[in-house]
Amino acid sequence: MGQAASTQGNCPGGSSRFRNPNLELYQFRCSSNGAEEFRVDSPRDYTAEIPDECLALIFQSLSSGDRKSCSLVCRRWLSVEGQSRYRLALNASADVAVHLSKVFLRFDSVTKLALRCDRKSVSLNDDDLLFISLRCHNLTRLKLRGCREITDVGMYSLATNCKSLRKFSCGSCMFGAKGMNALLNNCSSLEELSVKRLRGINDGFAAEPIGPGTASSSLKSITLKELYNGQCFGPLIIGSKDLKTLKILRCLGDWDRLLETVTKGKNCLTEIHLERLQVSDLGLIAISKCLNLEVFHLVKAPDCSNDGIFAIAENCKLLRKLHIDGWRTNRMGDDALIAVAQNSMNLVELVLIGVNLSSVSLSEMASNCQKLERLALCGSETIGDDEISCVATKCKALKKLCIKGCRVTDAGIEAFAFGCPNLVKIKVKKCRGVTSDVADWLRARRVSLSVNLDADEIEAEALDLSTSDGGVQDDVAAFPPIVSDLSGSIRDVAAEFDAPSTSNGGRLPVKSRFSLFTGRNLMACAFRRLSNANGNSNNTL
Amino acid sequence: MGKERRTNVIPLPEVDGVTLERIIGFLKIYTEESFQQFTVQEKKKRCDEFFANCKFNDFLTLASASNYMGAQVVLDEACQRTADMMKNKSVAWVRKNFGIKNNFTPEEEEAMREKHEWAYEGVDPDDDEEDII
Repeated sequence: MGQAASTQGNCPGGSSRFRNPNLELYQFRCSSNGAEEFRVDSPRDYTAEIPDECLALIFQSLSSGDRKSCSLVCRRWLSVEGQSRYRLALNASADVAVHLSKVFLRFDSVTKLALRCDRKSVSLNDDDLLFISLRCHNLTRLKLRGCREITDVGMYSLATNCKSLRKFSCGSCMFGAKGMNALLNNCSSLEELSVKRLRGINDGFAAEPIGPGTASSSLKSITLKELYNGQCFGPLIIGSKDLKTLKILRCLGDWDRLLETVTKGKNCLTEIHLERLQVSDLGLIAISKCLNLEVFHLVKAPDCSNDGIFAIAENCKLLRKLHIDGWRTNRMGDDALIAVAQNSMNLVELVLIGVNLSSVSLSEMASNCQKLERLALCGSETIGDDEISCVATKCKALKKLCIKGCRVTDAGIEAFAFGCPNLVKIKVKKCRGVTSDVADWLRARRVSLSVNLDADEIEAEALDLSTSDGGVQDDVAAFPPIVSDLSGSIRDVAAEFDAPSTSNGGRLPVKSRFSLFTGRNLMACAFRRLSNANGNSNNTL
Repeated sequence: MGKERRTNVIPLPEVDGVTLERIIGFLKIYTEESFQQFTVQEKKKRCDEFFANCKFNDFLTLASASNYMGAQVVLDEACQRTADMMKNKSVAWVRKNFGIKNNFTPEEEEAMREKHEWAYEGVDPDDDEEDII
C-alpha cells in the first residue's frame, strides 16, 4: 500500500458520500496528527490508511456500546464517531441540560433522537428543547418520553426549527393541543405520529381540536394510546387523506362516529388496530368500507359481535392479517370465523384469543384459507384435540402454530407428526393436557420442527400485558382494573411469530394492570361485557 | 511515478495485487446468478467461505481499496466484517490490535468516560412495529 497522504482538519459532519465512483474525487485522509512514517518496531496503525468515511461506515455496524468504546480509542476515532453518529438516545433529565452544548458539539449530525426522562427526575425544559432543536435542525425522528417540563412553547420551537421531522412519538408528556398543532402546522413531511398519555389535552370536554394542519397531507400512520381526550384528534385523522395505518388503543370515548366519518369518503387505510375501545359493530361496518384493509386487530372490544367481523370479512378481500381477542364475551365465535373462512382467501396470519370455536368453523377456515402461514389459538374453552386435528390435517401452508390455554392434550399434538407439511415451529403453552413426552416424541419424528412447550408453567394468569413504559404506576390507583385478563394478550402471542432474537427486555414489560375503564361510558360497556357472558345480547345502558 | 507510457494498463497506486484480486473475486461471486438466488443465510455462508483466510487488517485494506474503486458491495462487506471483529471488544483491545496510539491525556480520558455515563444510555429499543427511532 502506498503511503498515506494527510490533510489537516476534520472532515465535515456527515455530509460526504462514502463511495467514490469518480477517481478524481477521491480524497484520502488521515488522522490530523500525522503518522506518515511508521517504524518497523512499533505497531502500525492499520486504520491510518483508510479514510474517515470508511471508518464511519465500520462504526455504523456497531452497537451504541461498541461505538462508545471506539470513541475512546483515540482522537481521530472520537471525532469520526461523533460526526457519523446519526442516532442518539439521551437521558433527558434536567441535570443533563448543562452538558447539552458539549454533547451536540460532538454529535453534530444527529437525525434520530430519543429523549427519555424517568419518573423520578425533573426533565429537560422548553429552553433545552429550543437549544436541541437549533442544533439538530435536520432531525427526522424524535421520541420524547416523560419530558414533563416541556410545554406548548417548547413544542413550538421544536416545530419551527425541525421542519424535516418525519416521525414523532411522545409518551407521558404534558404539553397540549397548541403544542401538537404547532407540530402539525410546521412539519410538512411528518409521516408517523404516535401519542401516548398526553396529559395536556385532558382538560375537560372543551379540549381544543387537533389537526389537520399541513402534516395531514403527509401523514401515513397515526397511533393514539391511553388518551382521555383522544377524540380531539378527530380532525387530524379525518383530514389525513393518505393515512395508511390507524391504531387507537385504550382511549376513552365512543369511536364509532369517528370511524364512520373517516371511512365515509375515499381512504387508503390498510392497517387498523383497535384495542380496549368503546366501539361497536357500527364502527366495524364503517371499517369494512376500507377495501384496501390488509391488517386488522380487534382486541377486547366487548361491544363488537359476529356481525361486525362478518362485514369486514365480506368486504375487505385483501385481508392478510387478522387478530381478534374476544375477551371471552362470547359475542364472537364460529360465525365470525366462518365468515373469514369464506371470504379471506389472502389470509396469512390469524390470531384468535378468547374466542370459542368449534371444529365446524376451524375446519372450514383450514380448508379455505390456503395461504395461512401463522396461526395462534389462545384462551378458548372449546378448542380441544378434535379442533386442533382439523388444523393439522387441513392447513397445508402453515409454518408457525401457537396454542395457548386450550384443552388440547397429547393426542391432539400427535397429529402434527404427519400434518402441516410446511410447519417450522409449534409452540404450546399453558395446556395442562400436553406433556413433555409428546413434545419429545414429536421432535424425534420431525427433526426440522421446532417444538416449544412449557409443560410446568403455572404463571399468574391475571397479569395483563400492556406496553406501558413506566408511567403506569401513577395511574393504577386512579384506574383499578374492572376485569382481569385471563387469556393473555395479543402482543404476547404476536411475539411468538417474530424472530426469537433476544430483544432488549423492553418488549413486553409486565407492569401492573392498566385499565382505562373508569369513564361513565366505558363503565357501562364493561358491565355489558359481564352480563353478556351469560349469553344476553343487545343490552343497552 | 515514472514516465508515462501509452499502454492499456490502468495504474492503481492505492491498491495492491492481492487486494485487487479479492475485490474482483468477490464481485464475480456477487454477480453470479446462482448467488443472487441464495437465501440470506446461504449468501452469508458463501461470503464467509470467500473471506475465510482474511484477517481484520486485510478487511481494512479491502475497505480502503474498494472505496477508492467504488466497489460498494465489497466495501459494505469489508466494513461489516471489520465491525464484526470489533464487537464487544474493549478499548484496550482495539488499540492493541489495530496498532493505534492513545493520544488522549489521562484527564481527557477520565472526563470522557464520566460524560458517557449519564449522557446516553445506548441504543434506543425500537418499538415492535414502528421504527420510530
